[in-house]
Amino acid sequence: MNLSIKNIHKSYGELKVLEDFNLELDKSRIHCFFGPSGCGKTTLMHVMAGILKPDSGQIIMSSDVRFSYIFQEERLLPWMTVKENVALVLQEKAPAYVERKVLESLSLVELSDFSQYYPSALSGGMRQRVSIARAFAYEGDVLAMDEPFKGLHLKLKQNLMDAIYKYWVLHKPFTYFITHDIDDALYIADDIYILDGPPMKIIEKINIEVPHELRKTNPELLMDYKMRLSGIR
Amino acid sequence: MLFIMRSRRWIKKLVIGLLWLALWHITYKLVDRALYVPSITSVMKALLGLIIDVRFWQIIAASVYRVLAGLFLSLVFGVSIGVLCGLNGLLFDFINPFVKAIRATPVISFIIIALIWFKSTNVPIFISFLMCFPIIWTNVVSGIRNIDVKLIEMAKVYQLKRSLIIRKIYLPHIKPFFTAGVIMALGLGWKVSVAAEVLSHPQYAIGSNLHSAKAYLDTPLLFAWTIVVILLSFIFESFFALWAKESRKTL
Repeated sequence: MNLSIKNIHKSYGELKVLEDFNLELDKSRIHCFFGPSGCGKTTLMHVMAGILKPDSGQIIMSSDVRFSYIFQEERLLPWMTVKENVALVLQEKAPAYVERKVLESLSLVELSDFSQYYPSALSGGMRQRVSIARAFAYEGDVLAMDEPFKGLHLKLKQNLMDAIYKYWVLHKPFTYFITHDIDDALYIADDIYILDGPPMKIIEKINIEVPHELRKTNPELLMDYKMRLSGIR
Repeated sequence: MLFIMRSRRWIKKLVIGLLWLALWHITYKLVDRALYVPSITSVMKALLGLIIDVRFWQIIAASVYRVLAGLFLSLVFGVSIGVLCGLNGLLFDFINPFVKAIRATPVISFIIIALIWFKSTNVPIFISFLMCFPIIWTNVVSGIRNIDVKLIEMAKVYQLKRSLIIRKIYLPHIKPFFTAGVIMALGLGWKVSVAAEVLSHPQYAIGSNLHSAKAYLDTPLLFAWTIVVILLSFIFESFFALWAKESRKTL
């Protein structure tokens, strides 16, 4: 299954955010949308997930795709505990499965001890991790992440990226994410799309050919890419 | 320490209460016509005469039942129609003028028409329903409209069923709006229900007794019944406030 974005147009009033935007994404790779804020990345992700209707054009992918979506904001229900928030997206499933999935996902984001807390009692970074756990538990066919590591400190970020990569290896969802951070992009992406806009256009596509396993241990292998990315900026 | 503070607050309340009673007594002395302003003792005597009578408790039960029945109906319709109107703009536009008309209509007009439509015992139920419904409806609609659309977006992306979205997101969200509405409706429901009883004369009703007290020019009795209505209204509101507080804890 590949994903084709064909002739997408989307405007907010006078502002043309997407104008005849085309892109083909390969399912087997992790894609990263990299670019300045306001260039239309979030709009593109919303259109891809069907949250926003494009003015014209189409997204071609197999029907009935389930999205594990990590939003820019955590979007948790304040009247539910961490555990309940994650379990919410598993309503159709058997209780034993839900219990196991929720605990498993919470441990991936290192929040096992906070399952009974309400979101208001957590820090912003912790809430963001709950929303990541929710996406994991859902096990969508697509893992769409809009700045998932925003506001998280380095060590935790790396653990989370490792968790996401592990999850990806295990489930092989169609994965793409938005980031402003060069190191985040280089750490897990296979294809980086350098974007600018609006209207959004692809300035460059960079394929990272360093195996994931080496990126942590041999960061010098990423140096060239890093130079290129920072140069563009 | 806490105990001392509490008892201090009690003393303050008691003193304020006594001051008001004193004012009542002074007014009684100044007016000097028991028909207009009865003495405290005569009202208390009337009140005491009431509560030792079994009939009194039957009357209270009947009146309480009417208010609660009216309120219950207004909750059922107010919440269900309110949720639908909050979600659907067209339905809102359809219902809104109707609710506005109810609000603008004097209660007495409704009471008179209800006297024609219903049995006397059901008139107060209908009236308290009709007066409480707009309050509940308005609060529920504004609660629904006030919701964070981002949460709904999230729910849709994760393909939550519509019924689940309503149960797990909309209903908990409107709870504070709903609670505020119920507190308001309780107060109003009492007053209009008693007013309706005055005119519809059910066999067992506070309003019917207010009416006969007036007919016999028995001012102390009139005051006594009024005090009963006020006390009941207080009791209900504080019970509900307590319940609301408890349910907030579990929220």
